[in-house]
Amino acid sequence: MQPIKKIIALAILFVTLMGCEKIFIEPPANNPEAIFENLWTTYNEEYAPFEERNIDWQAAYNTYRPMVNTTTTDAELFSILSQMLATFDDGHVSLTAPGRDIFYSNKIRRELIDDELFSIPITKSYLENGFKEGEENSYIYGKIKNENVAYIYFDYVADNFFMLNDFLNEYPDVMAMLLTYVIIKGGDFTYCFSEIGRLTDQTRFVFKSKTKNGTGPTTLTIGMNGIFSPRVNM
Amino acid sequence: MKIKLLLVLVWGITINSQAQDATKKNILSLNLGTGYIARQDLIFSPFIHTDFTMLNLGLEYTREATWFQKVRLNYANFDPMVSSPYEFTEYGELQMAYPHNFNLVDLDYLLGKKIDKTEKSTLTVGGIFSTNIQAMNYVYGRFSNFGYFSTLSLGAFAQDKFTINEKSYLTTTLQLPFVSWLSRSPYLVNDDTFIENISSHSGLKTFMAYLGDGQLVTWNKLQTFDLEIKYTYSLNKKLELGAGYTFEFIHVNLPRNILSFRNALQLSGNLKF
Repeated sequence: MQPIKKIIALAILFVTLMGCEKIFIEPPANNPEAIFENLWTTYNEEYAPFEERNIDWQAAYNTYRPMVNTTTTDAELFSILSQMLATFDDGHVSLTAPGRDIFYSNKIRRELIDDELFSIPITKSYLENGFKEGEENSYIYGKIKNENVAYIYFDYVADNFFMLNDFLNEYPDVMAMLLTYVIIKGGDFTYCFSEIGRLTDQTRFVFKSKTKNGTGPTTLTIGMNGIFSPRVNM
Repeated sequence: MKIKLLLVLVWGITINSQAQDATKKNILSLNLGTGYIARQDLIFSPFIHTDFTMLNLGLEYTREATWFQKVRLNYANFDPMVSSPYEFTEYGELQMAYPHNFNLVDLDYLLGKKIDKTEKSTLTVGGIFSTNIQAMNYVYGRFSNFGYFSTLSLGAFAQDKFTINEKSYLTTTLQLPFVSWLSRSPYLVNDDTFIENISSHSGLKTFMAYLGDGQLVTWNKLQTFDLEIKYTYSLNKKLELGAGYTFEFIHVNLPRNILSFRNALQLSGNLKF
């Protein structure tokens, strides 16, 4: 092929390759009705425990869809979607939008019900001097004043959970131990698999989980058994 | 006699060195430049994520002797987001939603032979072993999900080297994997196997577990190729400068559809030895 023809061919190929974005699957449109439909459909296809949580998702569609039209404002849409998501009452369901406060589906989490019953400063005041704490109160542990009782608090469950081992090693002779998750911000429960092993003397079945792997209501994985096994002192 | 022998040896070494200087077989290249990605991965989002980056760099070693060999390592980082970073509040406290983060590493080994040579053009073909490791962090406001995409592939390549003049040449290289070990995030980001994999909380163990959970696929399941067009200019017998364009295409629908285009423009400095 002559050099000039080769260069022209490469240039055409280059321009073609730069314009390949037109073959993507059409993403959701940016209008109130399309956003509502996409959110409802996404949950319909991907949320698993409708039956377990006693949720009639089709009824939610019938109730809230008529409220949305082409003139629905962003604020109105956020409110409608929030009301619809409130039917889940699920701590793992939330709605985030620019310039707005997060909407949490779970009522206790959303309204911080009884949140005032737990206080970090009061908790610390019950512990003997020399108690240990993690960054931003990720954990706090020590011995309760005038008692032969050790106490540990976790703010969430992640790598801070490794401190359980240090806690158990530091207080081997106490009469009792108090573990608390009064204010729990969730976390990664896989950290429990290894660390909770110090608190059991035999293998124990804890839970069974399945995950969605398709769009149908019953397309779930075979399932995994969550098991805690005994673990020796580290 | 001894002096004559010494002179012959010196003369022989000099001739040999000059011969080696004339045919430098090794090239070490440093590539720096920009990249643009457009990706739609339905495991994480229905949206098309695009980003332009100035962080796209690579290192190559090429040896052209009896066999053509090339080892290529490239890294690119992208931070796409469908909107601009935005503020939101959580119980009245200000938070920020940040872009996603993509880290893409390519490691390729090419082994081939020249099969056709004309006055201006040389065609080299052979096999490739290609590694593509992609680690993503998709951010959804207040939380994020880790995602991965990895292919270990065997395939073929073809390279045409066209001599423009005595100082410059143009190479076009097409890499085509045929069979791959594909490892990818599960259907809805997390599943039981994913959770088991992360339970070790060891980066290396988790990475190996991700790879181990992959599957063997061929072109009917995974379509991917790399195309490179590179212009090179020789400054002298040892140094070259280059400018190249690379295009990467990925499409697979296991367990959900991903379509990705990556364009890169890089400048390179080559050391011949």
